[in-house]
Amino acid sequence: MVVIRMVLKEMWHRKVNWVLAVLAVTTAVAFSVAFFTAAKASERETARLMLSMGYNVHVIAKDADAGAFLIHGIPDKTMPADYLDKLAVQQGISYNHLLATLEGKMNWRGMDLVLTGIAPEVCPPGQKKQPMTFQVEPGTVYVGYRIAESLRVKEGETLSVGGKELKVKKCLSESGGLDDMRMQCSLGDAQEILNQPGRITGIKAVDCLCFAEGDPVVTLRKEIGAVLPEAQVLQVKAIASARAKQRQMVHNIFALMLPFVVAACGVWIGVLAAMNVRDRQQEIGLLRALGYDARAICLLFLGKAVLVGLAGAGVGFLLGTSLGLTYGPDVFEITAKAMIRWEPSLLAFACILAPLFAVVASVIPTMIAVTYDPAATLREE
Amino acid sequence: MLVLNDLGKTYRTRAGDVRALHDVSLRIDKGQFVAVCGPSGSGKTTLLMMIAAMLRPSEGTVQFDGTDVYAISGRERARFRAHNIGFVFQMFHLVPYLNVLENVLVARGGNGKRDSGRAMDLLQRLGLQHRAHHRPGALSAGEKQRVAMARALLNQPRLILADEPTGNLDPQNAQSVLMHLREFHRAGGTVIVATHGPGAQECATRTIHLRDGTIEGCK
Repeated sequence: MVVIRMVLKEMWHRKVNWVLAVLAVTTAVAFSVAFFTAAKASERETARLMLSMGYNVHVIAKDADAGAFLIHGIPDKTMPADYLDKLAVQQGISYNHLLATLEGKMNWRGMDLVLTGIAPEVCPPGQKKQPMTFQVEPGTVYVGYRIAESLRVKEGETLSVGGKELKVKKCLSESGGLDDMRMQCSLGDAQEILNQPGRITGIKAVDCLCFAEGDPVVTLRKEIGAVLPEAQVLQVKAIASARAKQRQMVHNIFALMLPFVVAACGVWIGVLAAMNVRDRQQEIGLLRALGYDARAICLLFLGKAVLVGLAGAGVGFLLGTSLGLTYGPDVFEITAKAMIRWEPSLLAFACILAPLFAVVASVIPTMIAVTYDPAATLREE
Repeated sequence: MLVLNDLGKTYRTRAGDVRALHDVSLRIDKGQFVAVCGPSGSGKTTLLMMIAAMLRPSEGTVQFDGTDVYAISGRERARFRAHNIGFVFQMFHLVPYLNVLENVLVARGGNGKRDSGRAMDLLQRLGLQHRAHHRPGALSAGEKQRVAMARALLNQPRLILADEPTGNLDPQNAQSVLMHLREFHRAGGTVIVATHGPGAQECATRTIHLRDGTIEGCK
C-alpha cells in the first residue's frame, strides 16, 4: 500500500479534521496575501504620487542661502559636479532619479532668464528606472514658453547664447511657472556659458518614501550628509508624505497582527494534528507491527500536512487576493484602483511556505506518533 | 527457530513497578503450533509482543534464527517483522479508511499487481472475495478476523503470532479462524497463539501455561 494513497484515503475518511486544518492554513495564507497585495499596491501608489510630483529632494551647497533658493528657485552658490558621482555610487539609499543641474540668471537679447544645464539622469546602483525628465544632448537647447513667445524663437533655429551656438530642439508649452523663463541645455554647455567649469548648483532627487522608520527627511539628511558633508538637503513636504505615513501606520498594525494570526493558525493545525494522532493510535501500532518504520509513519502525517498546506495555499491565495482587491484600497487608502492587482508571486510563496508552515505545526504530534509504543496501543481493547 | 533466554519484562508505572514476565526460557522449533495459555494478566500478550520484536525485554534475549532481535536497529527490526511475522489480534485492528483488499495489502507496503492478485487469492480462500471493496465498518466480526488473517498471510511469513484470535468471535467463526491457522501450520509455518479458550489448545502441538508472569508448565 503506497503511503500517499493512504494519506489521501485517510483525509477522505476524516473529512472534518482535514477541512478544519485546511481552514487554518487558508486563514493564515488569506490574511498574509490580502495584506501583502494591499501593501504592494500602497507602495506602488506612493511611488506614483512621488513621481507625479516631480523631484522633491534638493541637494544644494552648504553655504547656499536656502531662503533665497526657496524664494527664487535658484541656488546662489555652486558645488563640485563630482558630488553627483559620490551620491550615485551609494548602496541601499532611500532616494532615486538623481539629476545634477547648474542654474544661473543671465540676460539674453534684453530678457532676464534662467539658464539651466542638465546632466543625464542617473539612478543609484541596482535601480533601473526610466528618466523622469527629457535628456538634453550637447549643442541643443529647450526654450521656455515665455522666452520663445517674447523673442519669437522657433524650433530648429540656431541661437547664440553666451557665445555658444545651440540648436533649438523644442519650444516648451506653457507651464505657468519658472520653467517658462528657462532655457535648458546640457550641463557641459551651461558650465561653458556661465563660466563655471566642473560646478553644479544642485542635485535633484525623488525620495522614494519606502516605508522607512520615522521622518523621511531626517533619514535622507543622514544618508546624504554622510556622503556629502559639504551639502545641505531640502525636501518638499507633500500630501504624499502624509499619506505614506498613514499607510505606514496601517502597514505596521498589519505587520504586528500577522505573526499573531499565523501563530494562532499554527496552534490550530497542531491541535488538529494531535487529535488526528490520538484517533489513530491503534492504526499507528498496527503499522509499526506490520513493519512500517518511523520514516513511513512520519510520511503518513507530514504528507498529510503538506497536502493540507497546498490546499490551504490555493484557497487562501484566492480568498486573500479577493479580500485584498476588495477591501485593500479602503484600508490602505489607495486612491488609484489600478495600482492594486493580484500578485502571482504571492501564489508561489504561498505554495512553498504554507506546506512548510503546516509541516512545522504538525511536527510535535508527528513525533508523538512515531514514539508511540506499538505494543501498548495494540494491547488496548 | 526461536530461542527465549531468561526473558523478563517490568513495566514502570506511577503506582510502582509491575513485573509482567520473568525467567521465561523457551525454544520453539520451526513448524510448531504453540498455544500459550493462562488467565488474564498472566503475561501472554507481553510474551507475544516481545517475540514480535515490538516490546524490548527488561531482561534476557529473543533470538530468531540465531539473531538477537533487540540487538539490531529499529529499522532492521521493522524489516524483520515485515518479512517474518504475521499478526492476528483479538481486536482485528483493521484500518477503517481502507477497504478489505487494501487492508490486506497494507501488510506489504506495496501496491503492485502481483500483490493484489495474491491478496485476492487469499480473500477467495477465506471466502471474502465479494467483500474486497467493502470497508471494515460493513463487515461482521468473523469477516473482520478473516481479513486480519489474510493480511497476516500475505507476506508468506514464517511465524504467525495470534493474540486471542477467537476472543471476539462466535464458535463458528472461531473454528474458521483456527482452521486457517491450522492450514498455515500444515504448510510448514510456525504458529504461536495466546489463548485461554480450549479451541486453540486442541490444534496446538505444544501448550505452554503461564501464571503470574512465568511458565507454569509445558505439554
